[in-house]
Amino acid sequence: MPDERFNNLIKKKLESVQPPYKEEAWKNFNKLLPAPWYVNVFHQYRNWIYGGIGGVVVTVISILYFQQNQENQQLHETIATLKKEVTEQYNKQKPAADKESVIIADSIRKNAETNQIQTPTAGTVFHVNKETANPVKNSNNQDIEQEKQNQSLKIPTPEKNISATTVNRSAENKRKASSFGRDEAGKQKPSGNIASINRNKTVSDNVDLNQVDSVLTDNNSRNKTLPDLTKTERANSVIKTDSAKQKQSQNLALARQDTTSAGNNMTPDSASVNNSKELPKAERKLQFSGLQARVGVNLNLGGLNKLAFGPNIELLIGQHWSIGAGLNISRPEEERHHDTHAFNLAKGKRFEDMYHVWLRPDDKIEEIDLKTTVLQLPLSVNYYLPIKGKFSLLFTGGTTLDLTVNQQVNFERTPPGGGAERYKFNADPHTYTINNVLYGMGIQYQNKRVVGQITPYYIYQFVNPEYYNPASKIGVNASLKFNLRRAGN
Amino acid sequence: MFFRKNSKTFNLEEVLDGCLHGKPSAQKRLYEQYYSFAKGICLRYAANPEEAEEMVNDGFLKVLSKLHYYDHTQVFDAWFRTLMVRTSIDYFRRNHAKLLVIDIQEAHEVKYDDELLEKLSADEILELVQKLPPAYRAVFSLYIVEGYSHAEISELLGINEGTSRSNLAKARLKMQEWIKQLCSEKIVQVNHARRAV
Repeated sequence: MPDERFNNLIKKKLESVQPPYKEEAWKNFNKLLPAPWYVNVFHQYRNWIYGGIGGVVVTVISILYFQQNQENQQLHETIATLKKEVTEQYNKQKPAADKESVIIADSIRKNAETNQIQTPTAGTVFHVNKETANPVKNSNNQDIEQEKQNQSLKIPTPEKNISATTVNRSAENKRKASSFGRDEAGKQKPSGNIASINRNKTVSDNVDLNQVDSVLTDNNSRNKTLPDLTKTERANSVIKTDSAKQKQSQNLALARQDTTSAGNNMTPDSASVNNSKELPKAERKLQFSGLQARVGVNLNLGGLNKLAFGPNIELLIGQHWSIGAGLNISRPEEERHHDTHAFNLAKGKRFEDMYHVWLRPDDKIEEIDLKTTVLQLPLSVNYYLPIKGKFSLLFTGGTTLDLTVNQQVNFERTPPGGGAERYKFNADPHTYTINNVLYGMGIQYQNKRVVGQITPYYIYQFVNPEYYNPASKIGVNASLKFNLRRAGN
Repeated sequence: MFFRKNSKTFNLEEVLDGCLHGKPSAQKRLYEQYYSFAKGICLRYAANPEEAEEMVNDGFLKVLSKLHYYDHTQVFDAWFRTLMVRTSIDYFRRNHAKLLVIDIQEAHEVKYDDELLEKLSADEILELVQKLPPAYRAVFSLYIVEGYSHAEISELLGINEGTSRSNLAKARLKMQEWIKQLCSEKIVQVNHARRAV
């Protein structure tokens, strides 16, 4: 009976012990809870899921690559066609050389009409074009204006005719133009100077055929005075045109530049010419937009004590973006726990549960050593911001997938009868493939095709695999890469 | 029950239903509500609070995984308590089976007065229980607090009924000895304090 009273008192006392609830207790317990159903599904079908994702990525990249190639090919074909058209147009426009002769003849006629002994200057010759095409500042402008005024006083102004002229090169024009350079008897003059002008002509001479033809038409009204010119005057004109040849070609080049901006006045021919002029630039641009790749080695110092290294590849998309992938193998990470209790506290999981396959039920376990090696697949998206010279800022975001984990467990076990011994085995712990995301900002140095990068990063682990030590949240990533293609090639 | 937190707003059926559907919020509510109860049970079988914490977690995992076995016509607290005790015993067998052979040395019968027991707090008594060797502690708690018979204890722990009886007797004697010793120390301390004053 006294025992019963003792028992009741003890029971009453012990049952009244009710430790208060602690939030920390739930946090610890929450780590042990099984993952939600979708995580289980993911783990169950992860091989299929990874395969699917990989397949989609490869397919998308292939499609993009082939599309890019196709686009490049089409553009090259377009460029080739344009080049061909330009060449054809140029060949067609060769007879327009005669127009130049007519223009010069016009100048000669004007000189004759104004009874000025002065020979036509280069400015005069070019004035015909410039006046109607684009105004280019010329030192002779004032003289030209003066000359125009003189013309308007002495002969009927041809402006009306010019404005009324059409683009068509009439047969009459051609005839009249071809008649220039023959003497009164109809003999063909050598006219070597004029020929040399023609040789100097560039494709841009056709910049404004309308204007040239206007002048040609304008000549129609004036050519009737041509036979009145004396031989001396004509000879002078021809001789002077020889000296004006070079200036004319320079001025024509200036006019060519002006026509680039004078879009409204551009004929299809001149547009073709402009295209042909910009061809090299277009080609360069296309090549820059192509995919480029870098390969190299990567050294990762995770948590400032976990070292991993391996090969790395980076695909550049455009000039600023890239996708990186690699394969890192970590150096064996060692940890030691005095006994299972210390292990359980450190890991949040029971040693006996994790390695029950290798344990005997009654053994006492002490001095636990673990060596863990992880094979990782780092994936990242990078953005480069050039800062100065060969340096660029590098912004990166991504994850490190754990592919396989190898763990060597070594501990001392003591059976109930005594006789401690060391026991070692290779465990295959459950691999948490997706367990983190990381963000970083670093710097890149590029010298020709060699690239060096160093990137401190912050890592957030949303799952804490038991094969990791409590990880630090920062790390440093260093890479040395080699560009497979030359920039601009 | 008095140890429950927010009992008024706690709807057991709803929480259990949520737990059955794997809702984390329901799991947390159940944990909050029954943590103190579970810890109180586990402390009697554990050597220290850390071990008790592990037992509690193991017990809750078992509760959540076996919740679909729970018969809703029965009292949940009793089912929960049984599961916690079983988990504690499993833990004990897993970790302290080798210590079953350890015997209490020099358990002397002492002149003991139950009045001494009432002078000690619950925590002090618990500390004394935790000082017992694992095998004795398990038998002592199972028999005295949980009310198991020696037959049930022998089955649970895998020992003979005689061993169970013997262990209980020795554990009781040891407890009485420690209680008397502790009370004596307390009296001495009080006297010292009075003299100092």
